[in-house]
Amino acid sequence: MPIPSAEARRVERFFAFEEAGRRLIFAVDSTAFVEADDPAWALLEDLRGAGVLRRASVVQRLAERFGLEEAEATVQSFEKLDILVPIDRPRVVVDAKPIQSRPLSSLVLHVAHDCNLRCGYCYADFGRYGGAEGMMSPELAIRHVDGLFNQLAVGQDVYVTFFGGEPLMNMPVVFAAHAHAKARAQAEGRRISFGITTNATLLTEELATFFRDERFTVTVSIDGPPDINDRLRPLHGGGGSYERIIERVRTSKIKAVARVTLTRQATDVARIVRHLVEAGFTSVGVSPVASGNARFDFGPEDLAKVMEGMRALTDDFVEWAKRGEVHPFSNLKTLVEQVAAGEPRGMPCGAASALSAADNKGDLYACHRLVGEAAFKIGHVDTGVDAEKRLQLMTEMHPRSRAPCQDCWARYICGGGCHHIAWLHSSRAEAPWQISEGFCDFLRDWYRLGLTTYARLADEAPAIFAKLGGPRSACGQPEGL
Amino acid sequence: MAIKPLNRKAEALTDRPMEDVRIYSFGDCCPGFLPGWEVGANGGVDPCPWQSDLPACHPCYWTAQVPDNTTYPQWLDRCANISQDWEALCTVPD
Repeated sequence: MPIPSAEARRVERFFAFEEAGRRLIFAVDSTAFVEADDPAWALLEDLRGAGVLRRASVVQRLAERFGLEEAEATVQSFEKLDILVPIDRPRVVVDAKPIQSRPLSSLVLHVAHDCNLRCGYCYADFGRYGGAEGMMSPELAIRHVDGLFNQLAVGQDVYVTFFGGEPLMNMPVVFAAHAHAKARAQAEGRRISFGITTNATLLTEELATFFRDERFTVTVSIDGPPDINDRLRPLHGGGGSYERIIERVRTSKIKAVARVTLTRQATDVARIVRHLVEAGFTSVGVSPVASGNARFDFGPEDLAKVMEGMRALTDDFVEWAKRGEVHPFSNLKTLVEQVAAGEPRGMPCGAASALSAADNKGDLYACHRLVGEAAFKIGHVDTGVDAEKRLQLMTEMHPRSRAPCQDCWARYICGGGCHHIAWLHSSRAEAPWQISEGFCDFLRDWYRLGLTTYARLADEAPAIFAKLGGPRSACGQPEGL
Repeated sequence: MAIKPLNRKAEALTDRPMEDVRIYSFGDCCPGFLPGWEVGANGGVDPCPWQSDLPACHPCYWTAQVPDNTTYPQWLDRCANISQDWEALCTVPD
């Protein structure tokens, strides 16, 4: 017997899980997040695996256990959440819209293709990105800046980040590009923000003053306490970099963000983050290594250890929140803010869609990690952005092109994950690039942990939400790269 | 309350009144081709709300050909990826 269409409800995707005595439901497409009571949880059991249901039958089955009134209210609340939907309503596919190229707003200038450290895992080949060592000239940096400005829309804001290699090795170019970009932004009535990602070993008090006055976001690469950092981040001439970094950051009194690379040789993320918070960094973010080298890249047992540490840090985060303070662990802060807003995310970051990275040969790439890789080249300073190549890349990188994303409950929190990691996991084969299954499981565990932490905050420290929020950079990360 | 909204999106959804009539709008599809395989702007069938299109056309256009999932839960099994496997869509036994 067919179900009359007015009575028929289809079930939209949801992810339901129990954690620490809470029963939580996350609506996959709307990213609405709720806590369930007994009737709601019982209804979910009824919906699991169902395609099309007759509304009256659903209410009736639930009423047998909880009474008609409760059953009706529960079904209605699921209809409001768009988990139970009238069958004749078209499905709103969040990322179904054609991909559009808008002007790039963010530029990463690789001012120095050289570095004074020799980190074994460096994806940039010590700043050389597969090419020769070399510095960007001030003329080229200014032309790159002009290239960015010339394609902007009216009133569009601008972000310029100085990157390397080690950008402090080429400060004259940082000064020149900064002055030029600032002047153009002022002349055109645009807001502009600057950032620099550095190992801080060459930081001086004068430079710190400049960065503070010009309101740079200064991101310092450091991997944790000395026993971890010095093993992974040695100076070019040998010896550890920890003492020098901390001494420079302290004496220059700069407010800096710490950015940690996690490798299989350093999986104790809780110890690392706690150490750097204590050392005075205003924000601490971690990122898994992407080296394509088995000495550093994670195996399954390493990921389990990392997740254990992440879990411990969520406890810290909640404890801080109860005292009214936002914990500096920025990965979790960003995730909690994202859950709070509940806005579905179509792409993981701004690579190629909002951001490009410029090298010392004049080439433009989809992001700073992909500099030097022909597959991700999206233009040149002489010819500008290659619109067709950019659109092709954005289409190939989009989660809707990737099979594992189709049925993933976390796809609109995740947006498909880092393109660089996906590309390495796909052994640099042709698009669409896919992140390995084990790493996707790790990411799902992380997003689930974020949801759980959010639910704990809503319960134990709701006042903290007023202190969260704030804009993200084009790369999708709160600050730095 | 059966559910407690936790984030802003959940609040927005549960705060709205239940409507009898909903706005019927098409996203990336061309209604002129109803019923059938609407094609998105990129030339693929992927962006279409295809699964809802089939029963949505019932009973006006494409009546008995669309089995309901309750009686015939397996009818789509051979079409895991509709953009590639749509030719495998099968009829149901009498």
